[in-house]
Amino acid sequence: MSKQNIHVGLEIGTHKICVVVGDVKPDGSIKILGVGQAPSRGVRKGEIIDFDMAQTCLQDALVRAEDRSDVMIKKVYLAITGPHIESRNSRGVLRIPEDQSEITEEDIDEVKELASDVAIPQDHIFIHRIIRHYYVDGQEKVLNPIGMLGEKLEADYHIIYGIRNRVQNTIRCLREFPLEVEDVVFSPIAAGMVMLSREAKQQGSLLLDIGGGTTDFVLYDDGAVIHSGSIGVGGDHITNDIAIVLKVPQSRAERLKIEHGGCAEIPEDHEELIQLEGDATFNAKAVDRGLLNAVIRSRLEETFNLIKKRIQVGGALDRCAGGIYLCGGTSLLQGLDELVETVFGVPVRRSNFTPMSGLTANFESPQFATPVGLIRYAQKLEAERANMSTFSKIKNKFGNLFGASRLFASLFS
Amino acid sequence: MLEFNLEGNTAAQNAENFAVSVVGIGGSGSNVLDRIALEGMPGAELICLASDIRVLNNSMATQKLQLGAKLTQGLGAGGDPELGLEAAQASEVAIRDMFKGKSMIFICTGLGGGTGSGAAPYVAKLAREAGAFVVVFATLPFSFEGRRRQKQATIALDDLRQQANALITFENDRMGELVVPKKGIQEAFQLADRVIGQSVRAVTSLVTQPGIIRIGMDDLMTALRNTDSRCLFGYGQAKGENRALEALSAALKSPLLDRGQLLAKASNVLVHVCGGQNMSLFEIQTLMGELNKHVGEDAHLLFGAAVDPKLGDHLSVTVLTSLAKEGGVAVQPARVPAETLPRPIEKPLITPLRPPVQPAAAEVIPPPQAPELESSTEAEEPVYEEPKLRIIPKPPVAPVEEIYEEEKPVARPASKSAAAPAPAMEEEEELEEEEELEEEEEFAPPPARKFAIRDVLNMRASEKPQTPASPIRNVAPHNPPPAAAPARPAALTKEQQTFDERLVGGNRGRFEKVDPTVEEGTDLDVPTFLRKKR
Repeated sequence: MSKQNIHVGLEIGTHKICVVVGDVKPDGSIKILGVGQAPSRGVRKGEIIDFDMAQTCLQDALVRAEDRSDVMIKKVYLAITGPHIESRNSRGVLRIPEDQSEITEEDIDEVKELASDVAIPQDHIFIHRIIRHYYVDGQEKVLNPIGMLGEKLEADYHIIYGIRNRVQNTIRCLREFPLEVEDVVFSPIAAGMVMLSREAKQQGSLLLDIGGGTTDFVLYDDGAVIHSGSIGVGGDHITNDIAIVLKVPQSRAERLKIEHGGCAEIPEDHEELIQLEGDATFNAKAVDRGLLNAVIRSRLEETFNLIKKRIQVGGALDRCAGGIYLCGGTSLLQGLDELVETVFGVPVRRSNFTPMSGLTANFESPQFATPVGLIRYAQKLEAERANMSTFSKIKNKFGNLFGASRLFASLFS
Repeated sequence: MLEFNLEGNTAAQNAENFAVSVVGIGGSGSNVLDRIALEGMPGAELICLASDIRVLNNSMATQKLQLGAKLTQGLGAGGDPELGLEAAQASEVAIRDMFKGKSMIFICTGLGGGTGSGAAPYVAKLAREAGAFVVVFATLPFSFEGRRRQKQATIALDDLRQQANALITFENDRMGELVVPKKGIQEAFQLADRVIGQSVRAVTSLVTQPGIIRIGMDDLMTALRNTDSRCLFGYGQAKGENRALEALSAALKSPLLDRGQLLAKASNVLVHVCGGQNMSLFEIQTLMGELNKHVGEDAHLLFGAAVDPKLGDHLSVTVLTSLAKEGGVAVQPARVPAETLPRPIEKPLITPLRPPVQPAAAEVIPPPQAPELESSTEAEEPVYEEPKLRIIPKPPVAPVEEIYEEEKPVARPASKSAAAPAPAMEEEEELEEEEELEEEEEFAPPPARKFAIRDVLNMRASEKPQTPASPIRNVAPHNPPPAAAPARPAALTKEQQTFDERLVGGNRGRFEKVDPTVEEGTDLDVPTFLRKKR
């Protein structure tokens, strides 16, 4: 059992590939053993578009992580994202037969299947089916109905699904290493594992993961996921916008964004020029800070509004008492908090990472939320499995490829 | 060769032999009529009957008739149903004339007042006697209007139930829920009128439109059989990717359905889905799957689907049902025996075989200016290259060389990642920058192209049917294909483009060759800043 407790989280992002090796101690704390990172190539908008190139970069990251942690990596938890991933909520209703009054594990499985009976497009596949709440005979928000007496069991599930081939392409890419994929996790769900405290989830909070190629979001309320999704716009777009509007090369635009970019609104009469020094191929140039900020701001504002529009159905945002949490590389942009607050009308909170030991100091940056979150996810999953009866264990062996069925209520509460 | 007319039962043909009248009685009826006239209801005759001359003057109906001109002398019925009835009786002949030859008559009226409560039952009777199928849409007064009006309304409603084939009622009290209470009263009433207008239109199209799965009068009667005072009606329309579910949820949100909760109690539910040419079977499946969650287990679903090209990208859902009064109500015997009910439309045995499923690509609608833009660029730039944009597998900024040049990509600076704190970054940055610049010169025509992204999409869509053209292009790349072929002109250099073109055109920079991210018709890869300016 000793070796079993080491988990590896892998995130293939648009900007960087990140491998985190973590050891789960018996007391439940996580020790980060090593992190391998490599800038990624051949990935656009969170999805691999060039296998060979992505594999080369992945190889790098893996080797580094293996070196530092002294662990042979064979199995990984993989974070995926991409604008093709969508979510919806669904409720399953099950009538408990009269001769049986107590709710059993099989009933839970059945009600889950009932809830999953939603029409998703044919080429899509379930990535997660996350329990939100159970209702027993109309009694609200039962967390664990097993063993309870009741006639009617209802379950609200949050279902996340994506295009089958795209998900499988990534897995196939890893298999060639060979690397086995233990489970596939939608990025913001993983990030939420470390970014949001139990209290934040209970109060209702929104997590925005603004990465290089995509902006992912997950909205919690009452301790459960109520909305999640991904928009194919991220930091890359900002760089690209700067390059096009200010007419500078992409690499310059990237630097400009990191060093000078911000999203505060700058009054028109405030003139401030940023000097770009020239070199062999680039003539020195000055750009207006107001213009730079306007470009960045309009892009982010639009993206946030798109997200707001998606999640605002049913006034979910109004119940967001826990605030908004930001992670991902782009969240380091100056003045982002203020912009997020203006658009969503909800205050931004900075997250305290859940305590962890090891190399954490370097990796408490919100950029690493997803890969570290994968370890936590693995830990919870592992704990779940240990709790399960032998019957379900066998059943799960033959369960679906992505093992999403292994999730249970306690995972997200 | 024997030809089978696939377009046999078109809406147009049906409309010809299916005369519909919408009759508004009294002030509130006239308001509904105006709303219907405003939003347009082709093929229907709008008739306004009122005793108040002011109402008639303001009405937008095509035909107007003053009831009991001598009796009321141009004034209203003054809230007295007796007077309303007498006025209608006085104009009996004129009304009969108007109803002659009509196969379906909708009567819209507000109950509680004089003309509405008094005249409506009588007019409904005349309409039935003219041999038409009569559907009455009646509005019940607000409870604050007083008990007297409520009582008058109830009596009139009972009378109407005797006369009409189908009766659909709207409770003003619940209509109030349509709008936020603070909103202006005018808006509230407008909305209420619109809902009634929508339902009139929906019911008409329900029974007149040729359908893939037809719904006829019989189905309508079944759905409304329990005709009590409460009819549940929901109508929703939506477009876009998720339109099926959106339309349904809009329909269920209708206050008349009590947010869909009342549906669970209904025993017969009529659902009609109507969409443009591109409505897909999958959408219907999704929609019905979702709806099934709202209706009771043994409810009888009367399902209909129709294709209406007029709807374009929209999809509309109509949900119609009625609840039995607690304790049960005897089914209302119609005075005209069922056999004589007008059946103007024969159910087509073979439904019009329009393909319900359309490829997604066809959904891209070419912007009107697109062809001009294309041809003009061709005129300027007669030189063609092989269309390598589609053949070259690598993206323009993809740093293939970089990786091969440097044997250790491990050491690649992380400058592209938004904020990777790689220590190697500083040293190598210069190097990389140069490379990238070289690269840019090599590959790069400036990222701007003359095509707006919509044009590109358009071309992609239009390229499919034109496959024969592509081999020709490949064999003789230097022979310009016929002007119509969607060949791309050689990329222009920066100088050749005007500033405006660079600004307005679909400049997507490094996302030029990736799948575009399109949300609600806007291409998100084009800088927001530029889009805003446009």
